[in-house]
This record gives sequence, C-alpha cells and structure tokens, in this order.
Amino acid sequence: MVQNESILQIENLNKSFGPTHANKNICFTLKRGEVRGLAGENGSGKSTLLSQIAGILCKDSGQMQKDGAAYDPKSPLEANEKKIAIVVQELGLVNTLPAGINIFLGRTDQFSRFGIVNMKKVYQAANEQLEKWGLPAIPYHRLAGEMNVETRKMIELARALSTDPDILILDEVTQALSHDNRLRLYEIIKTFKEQGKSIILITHDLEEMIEITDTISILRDGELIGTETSCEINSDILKTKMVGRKLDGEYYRADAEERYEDEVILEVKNLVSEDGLADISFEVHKGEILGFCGLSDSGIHAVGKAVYGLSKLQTGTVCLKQKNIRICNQTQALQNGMAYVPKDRDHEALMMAASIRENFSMPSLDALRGPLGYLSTRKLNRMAEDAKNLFNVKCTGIDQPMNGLSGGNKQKVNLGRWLLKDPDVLVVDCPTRGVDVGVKAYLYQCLKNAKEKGVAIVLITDELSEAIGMSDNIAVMKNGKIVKTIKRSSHFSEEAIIEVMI
Amino acid sequence: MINMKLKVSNLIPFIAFFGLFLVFAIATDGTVCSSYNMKVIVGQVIPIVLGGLGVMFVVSQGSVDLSIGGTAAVSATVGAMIAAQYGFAFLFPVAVIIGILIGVINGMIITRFKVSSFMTTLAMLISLRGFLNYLLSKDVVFAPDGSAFLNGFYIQLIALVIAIIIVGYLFEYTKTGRCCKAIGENETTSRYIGINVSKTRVISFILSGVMASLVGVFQLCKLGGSSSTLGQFFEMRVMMAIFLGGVLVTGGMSAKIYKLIVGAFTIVVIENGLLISNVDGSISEAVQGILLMLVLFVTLRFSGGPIKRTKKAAAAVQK
Repeated sequence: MVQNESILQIENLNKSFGPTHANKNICFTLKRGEVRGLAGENGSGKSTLLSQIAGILCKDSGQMQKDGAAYDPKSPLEANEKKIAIVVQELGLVNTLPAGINIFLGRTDQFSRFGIVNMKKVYQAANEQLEKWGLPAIPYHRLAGEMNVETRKMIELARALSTDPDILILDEVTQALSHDNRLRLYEIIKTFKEQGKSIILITHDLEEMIEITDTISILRDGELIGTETSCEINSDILKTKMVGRKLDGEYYRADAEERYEDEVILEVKNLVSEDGLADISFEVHKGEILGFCGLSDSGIHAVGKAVYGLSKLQTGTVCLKQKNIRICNQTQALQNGMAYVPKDRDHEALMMAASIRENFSMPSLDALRGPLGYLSTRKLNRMAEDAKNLFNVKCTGIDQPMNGLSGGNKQKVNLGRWLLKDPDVLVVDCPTRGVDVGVKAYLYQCLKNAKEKGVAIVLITDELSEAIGMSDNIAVMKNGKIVKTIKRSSHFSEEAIIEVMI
Repeated sequence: MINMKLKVSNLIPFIAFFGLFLVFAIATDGTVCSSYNMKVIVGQVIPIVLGGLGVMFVVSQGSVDLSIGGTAAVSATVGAMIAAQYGFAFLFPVAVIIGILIGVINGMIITRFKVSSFMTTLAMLISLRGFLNYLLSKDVVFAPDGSAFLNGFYIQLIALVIAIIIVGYLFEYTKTGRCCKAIGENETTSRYIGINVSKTRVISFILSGVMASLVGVFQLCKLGGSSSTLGQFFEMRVMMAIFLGGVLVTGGMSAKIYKLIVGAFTIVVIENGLLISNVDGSISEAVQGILLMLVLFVTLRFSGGPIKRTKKAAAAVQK
C-alpha cells in the first residue's frame, strides 16, 4: 500500500445554518495512514466539517472524493458502507437498547433470520470486536442508558470500529475517557496507522493533539487556515493560530503554595454510598480549592453528587461548619449557599430547550422573590441581561434557547449562574469538558476569582493538568477511597499522582 | 422589553381560533356571534378553563392527570351528600378536601413508586368512576338546598376570573410554577439544581384535584344532582384545550395560562358552531374530530412545537 496516496479529498465545501456560514470553501486532503487533528475554537466549524464527511449532515456545495471516486453520503450508514465511521461528540446511543445491539445498530440484518435478531450472535460479535481492539469488557447485555459516560463512549468507539473503517473520525472522544482508556485509544490509533488507515480527530487538549497526530489543520470562523506538521509546532503557536491573536500565557495559577484561611467551611465525614463511595472524609477551608483526581470508576464524580445531597448515603455526614447545618438533600444544599456544576452539561445541568434567561435565573429564584413570592419578569430579564454581559455569553439575546449556544458559552451560563449567587461552597465536576482554550482560560479565571472571594471549591476533574494547575490540595481517589492527599507546596507531579491512582 | 416582542408563532392558536369563529359566523349568518350564544360559549368554556388551571401544573411537568373527571364527580357527589345532611356550608369544604386527598394519593403513588402519571391517574379515574356508581346506587343525590345561585352565569364567571388571577399568578409568577416548568424541561437538571421534585409533583396533583373538585360542584349544581355521567370526558376536553393552545406534551416553559384559555375557546366554538350550523348530528362528532386535528396540526406546525422537535430527535438518533 502506498503511504502517500490520498484517501479523502474535499474541495470547496460549504455549509450554512441559516445566517451562520459554518464552513467556507474548505479544501482538505487526507493521506493513507495519516492521523490528522482539527484545531479551532468552539463554533469554528470543526464538528460541522466532520459531520459532513460522516454523512450526518449534507453539504450545501462542493465536492468530496474518496479513493478517487465521488463520495456524497446521505446517512451515516451509507458512510459506513464507504468505510468511514464517526464517534460523535454528543452521546449517540439509543439508551433503551442493550449495549451489544447499539454496537451493531442499523446493521443487525446479518444476525437475523426471518426478521428475528439472534441476540446471542450479536453479543458474540460484539465481544469479538472488543477483543480484537483490546477494549475493556463492556456488560453488553445491559441497557446503554444505565452506563456512565465513559463506558458509553467506549461502546460508540466499538461501534465505529466494528464497521472496519478506512477513515475513523473521533470528535472529542478523549475528553470523556479516563487515563487508562485514553492509553488504549492511543494504541488503537497506532494500529490504525500501521494498517495504512487514517484518522481525523478533534480534541481540546492541544498537548495531546500534538502528541498523537501527524498533521493538524486549523479552522477559524469556518475557514481552513492552514495545515501544520505536528512535530514542528507547539501548543502556544497552535493557540495563537486558532484564536488569530496572541493569548496571554497565564492559564492556571502562578503560585506554588497552598493558600487559604483556617476556617473550615465544608466538613465531610465517613461517606459511604451505593454509587461507589467507601468511607470518604475531607475538609474544605475558606478560599481553598480541593482537587479530586482518580480513574473514572474511582468514585470522584460520586463525591460531587454526595456532597450536594443528591445520593442516598448509607453512612456519613456532610456539614457546613460555619452555619452548623447538616446537608441531607439537594434542596437544603441549594438553600444554604452550595452550588453544584455536574459533569454532563447538556443532560444534567442545563435546560436545553429553555432560554438563557430561564437557565440563568433557575438557582436564584429564592433571591429574586418579592412579596407574595412574586417573580417579576422585569427582574428576571434584568438579572439575565446583567449575567449575560458579566460572563460575556455570546448569543443573540437572553431569549435564545440554550441548545443554540456553543459548548463554551453553555458552560459560561452553567458556571456563571452559580457564581452570581456568591456561594459558600462550589462543587464543580469537570468544568472545562469540551470547552476551547479561550473559554477555558476564562473559566479558570472565574474559579480563581471565586477562590479570592473565599469560596470553598471542590474541583473534580479528569484532567490531571487542571487539578495540578488549580488546586491547593489534591485528593487522589481509588476504589471509592481517598488514598492520598497532596499539598500544593509539595510540588505536584503528574507521575506521582498517576502512580497513586492506578 | 425583550419579551414583549410579538412572535408570530405564539399567535397561531389565536389565529386558528378567530379563523374558525369567522367561518362559523359566516356559515350561520352571525348567529354564533349573538349575545345569547356568546354567553353559551363562555358558559361552556368556564369548566374547561377552571379545571385546566390545575391540570396546567401537571402538564407543564410533562405528566398528565386523567383522573380529574372522576375527581370532579366523586368530590362533588360526596360534598352534596354531606351538605344534604349538615347544610350547604359543607358543600365546598368537603368537595375540596376530597379533591386534595385524591391529589395527594395520585402524587404519592407517582413519586414514591415511580409509576407513570398516565397509568396512575387512569387507574384512579376508573376506580373513581366505579366509586361514583356505587354511591349513586345507594342513594339519589340532589344538589343541596341554597345552591341554586351557583348556577348563575355571572357568579361562575366571577369564580373563574378569581381563579385565573390566583392560580394564574401561582403558575406564572411564583417559584412553584417555575419549578413545575423546569421539571418539564429536564427533570434531572431540576433535581441537580436543588428543586424538590417529589414535593413539587405532589403539589401539582393537589392543585389539579382541588380545581377539579370546584368544577364538579358547579357541574352538579347545574344538573341539579349527581348522575353517573357527571364529569365524563372532562379530562379529555381539558387536555385537548391545553394541547390545542400550543402547550407541548413534554411540558416545560412553553406552558402558559393564556394558551389554555385559547384552546378552551377553540374546542367550544367548534362544538357550538357545528350545532348551530345544523350539521347532521350523526356526523357532527366526526367533523369535530377532524377540525380539532386540523387546528392541532396548524398550531404545532407553525409554532415550532413537537413536530420540529421530533425531527431534531430523529436527526440525533441517526447520528
């Protein structure tokens, strides 16, 4: 197989959504065995481009050629037949079907006789796929909807791989994966490359992108600005090119000492819960950022839920020391100055079909109430308008529905609505998931400001660099327990944390 | 003011209503618009809107309450039976208390045992209907003495206006109403923000029960006594009015009181208009159904309601 032969060619591709010109005259060539990264800010048209290649969206104009033949897929299934498969950014599984069926969705004919699908064969084939690619075992007879985000991503990956594609498209897949599964994915990418197959991927982790790709194409405002060779570029240059101006270098905290007041705000004792916490105790002080790191099944996400009173606890207490209140349920948490930003922004945090105004005002309803519980429309509007300006949310107005915003702007609303309330305790779970560098820096600035104001912050994160960059103390979790707590002054290192994690 | 901007999509239910009204006005040479007939129309709208006010809280959460017909009948009948013995003063309190009880039972079953509201309230409706028949087999129930004044048009209209002001305020301008809508938008989100979903849900069913019992009392007084058909198909008319007005079946922020009122008027005008234009009684119901479907389609097609949403959902599944 010739290595330099091109496998996919795109010429003058255009795509508009109403007034938004999402892709402008994109020209793009992908070679066999090439791992290509797509970089760009949120809303720069990366996902749109990939969706058209994968047959999810139809192009407005332009040409695509695969292996020299015209290629114009009308559906993802058709793209699969032409050996192009995608793992989408949002979760693309049917929740009410078992994971095994999801892997072969739309292609179950091969297992059926007289219209009845032989489930045993499906599961067998699913198992074969997982083994073939060295993916971890998935309980494939269980419903997809019952699984966590990471497992579901793995199922989607298995589905894409099972079509035996020449071109695999990964749209922000690594974000949802924990460290060990990321390593597995890198292996898969390597295997692909060796077999002369190509990969296009998007990730907001630029360091990661530079490391695993051969070349990187940069998109800005729907235009392809250029393609760089990965080994000749660094993340600073990439950032500058993405944004089109020089970014301030400061991203994380600059200081190397833990710094907070002595007063304990949040005290958590002996938490044991059904969703995987085994005896967790910790304290958060005024103005402290306590980072939580661990593999995805280590229970770090369960900590957030438990602290905000959302889980059923078997034993243990969550106390607000200052107010001397024990938090038993989420309503108490809300009323006593706690805030929780869940991991799954679209499904757990925001009302996607409702307007920006409703989303901003929801946690602050108690504060906005007048006599007789009156919530005046004017007050709500003013509050949302102020908040929109304060957090610099890019939108057409406060009446715009949430689902029209880009990921970064959604997250600004999501975090902003809590910061407005001046909470005492802020629990954030993966606050920068699926957010581009510009917004990321902004969100970190928000967290830093909150810390200065004396908010006690619990930062749960999948990204080690985030925990290292922001935390005063890091609690490393494993199997539902805190195995080690590390102070900022002892100089965090990724290696040291990973060692404890695994 | 931003939300003062008139959106064409919000006007569609109004346009549909006035269009129908105009058609019937022409078809009947203006008989529909006579002051007597207007009174008849408003008289028929009153129970639908009165009952719908409570159901709005339930529907905005994406749930349904099918039991209100039964609630209306049973609470009013029991109220009348007690009032016959102890006096008129007991009529309303007893009916309302029974309405509250039924709401609590509905709400508790749905939140505690996680049963769908559709099944729970359907079962409740059937058992209430059965209970009504049992009560009526024992005794003939008449409207209590001194209740005749409740039959008056203006007293009912005043009751409706007061109800719209109080319940409408609760629904549109307080935390309770907003929480109901938030639950309809996304239940998980609401819980994660810190809303007590179970409590809100029980409250909504209580409100639904209370409003239904009030309608029951008015209807009973109108009939002069209870019968086994009291409140029959009431729940369907209310639901129909709400969805005709443009409220989404999934609930959420689209739920607005004015939509209920427009929907109620549309239903009544269709019924009333067909009656007056001398459409053959044997096919009038079929025509009614077709007209309702037409209005529903127009409303949803042009207001970006479920039809568009389904398309989006289909696209998402394809991904």
